[in-house]
Amino acid sequence: MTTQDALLTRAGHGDAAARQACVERFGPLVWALARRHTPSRADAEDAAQEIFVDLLRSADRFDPARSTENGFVAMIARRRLIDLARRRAVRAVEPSDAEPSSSAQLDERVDASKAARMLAALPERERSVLSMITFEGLSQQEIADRTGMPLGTVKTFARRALLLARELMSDAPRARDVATEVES
Amino acid sequence: MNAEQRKERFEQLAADAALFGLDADEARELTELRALPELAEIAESLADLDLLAGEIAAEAFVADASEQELPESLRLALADVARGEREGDDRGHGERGRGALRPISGGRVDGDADTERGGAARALPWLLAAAAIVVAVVGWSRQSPDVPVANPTPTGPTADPPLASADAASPALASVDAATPSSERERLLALAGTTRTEWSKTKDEAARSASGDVVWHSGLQRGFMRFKGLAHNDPTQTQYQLWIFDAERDERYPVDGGVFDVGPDGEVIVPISAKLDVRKAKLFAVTVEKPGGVVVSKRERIVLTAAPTS
Repeated sequence: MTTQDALLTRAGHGDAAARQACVERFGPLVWALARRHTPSRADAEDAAQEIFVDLLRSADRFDPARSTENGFVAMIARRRLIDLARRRAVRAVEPSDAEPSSSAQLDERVDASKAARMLAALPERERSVLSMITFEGLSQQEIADRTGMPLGTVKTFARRALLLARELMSDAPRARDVATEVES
Repeated sequence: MNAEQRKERFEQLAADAALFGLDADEARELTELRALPELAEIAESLADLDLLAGEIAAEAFVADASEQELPESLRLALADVARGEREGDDRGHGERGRGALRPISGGRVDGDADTERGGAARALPWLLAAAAIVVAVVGWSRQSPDVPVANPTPTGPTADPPLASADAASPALASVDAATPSSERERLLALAGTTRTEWSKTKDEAARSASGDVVWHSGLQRGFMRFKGLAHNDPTQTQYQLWIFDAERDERYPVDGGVFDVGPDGEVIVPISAKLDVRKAKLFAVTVEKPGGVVVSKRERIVLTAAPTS
């Protein structure tokens, strides 16, 4: 995909049809993320709208050399959702009224792409923590509550997971070594 | 803190920023660490961590088809956003409250602020209107005795042909193939709970050849007016304004439904821009007002009315 081809790029340049097409293409992704990161359906609807405002403002910054369009959209969504969560003084225990995703379910879903292979290559605890963060939208405290790990340990595993994931997603020799090592 | 500790602290904050967000102190600390020459290389390498987190989050979605259905109400709201209705409004929802959807403007409905619309003027004229909707209708009819009873039509999908937008003031709208007021109206009509009511014209000259309908969905707080043959207005002289009587509000104060114009061809679909939530719309009325609209109509020129049955 070239920059010119990208729907996000066209939307970012003010193409009205492309902006509308973004709703159809990325709306479900935004909605799914919003449901996972918010305590209620109403909050998720509000969040989804705010995310789209952010997305359309930022769309011209999309670079196909750096990410997929879905990845870019999810990044924008997560930024807003994290911001909203931090602004909520007290967050409900349940992250949403959607069914939470279990690690087992994630194992079944994530199976094909580069990111999926990366996740599969992560050590179990790192993968579990990263999954709870990115797939379920859990906060550090919620992960600590669920797993029984101290908060500092959650932060440590999250950091390790993300940094390892970054290496695995790249083609660096070290990353390949790590993946091989973990899989073996 | 030695160099290795600074590096680890930087990695922790960078990861936290991507995964959980940072508070003000943490953000400041991350900025300070990022500026250190000794961390420049790793700072560059970790610049895309939140993009990586996005890729991972998107991955789960792509693999799970069960999550790929967007609620229709949200689809409509996002279409509003895509049209630019909410640019500059990324916080809160004003007086509509959480979860409410903002109406789309379509470029024709007068948006918000108007210096003529202060609160002080909302007084006597509407005090003369009825305290109940029936009385309200009578009140409107007194201004124009020949207003016929509105003729509501059943709710449901229609086969109305798409209309050419009369919106000469917003040419961009005509280029939006994915969601025009016409297509959005059709989409709204397909939803359960949507009412469609035909306009009833008065003796006002502007309404002589007018017809059309008003479509409204209370749950979504969204609707469209469709006009055929309504007289072209000169926006520098007069504008049309919609008023919505809410059965659950004081009848003296109908909700301002927005100001709009009609082009020379007399055909237009206008999104309704209710300034307050309308819980139970009992009467829609279009008046002719001075440019920019008014807070309180003197009801000197009532053009069209429509009274939904439910």
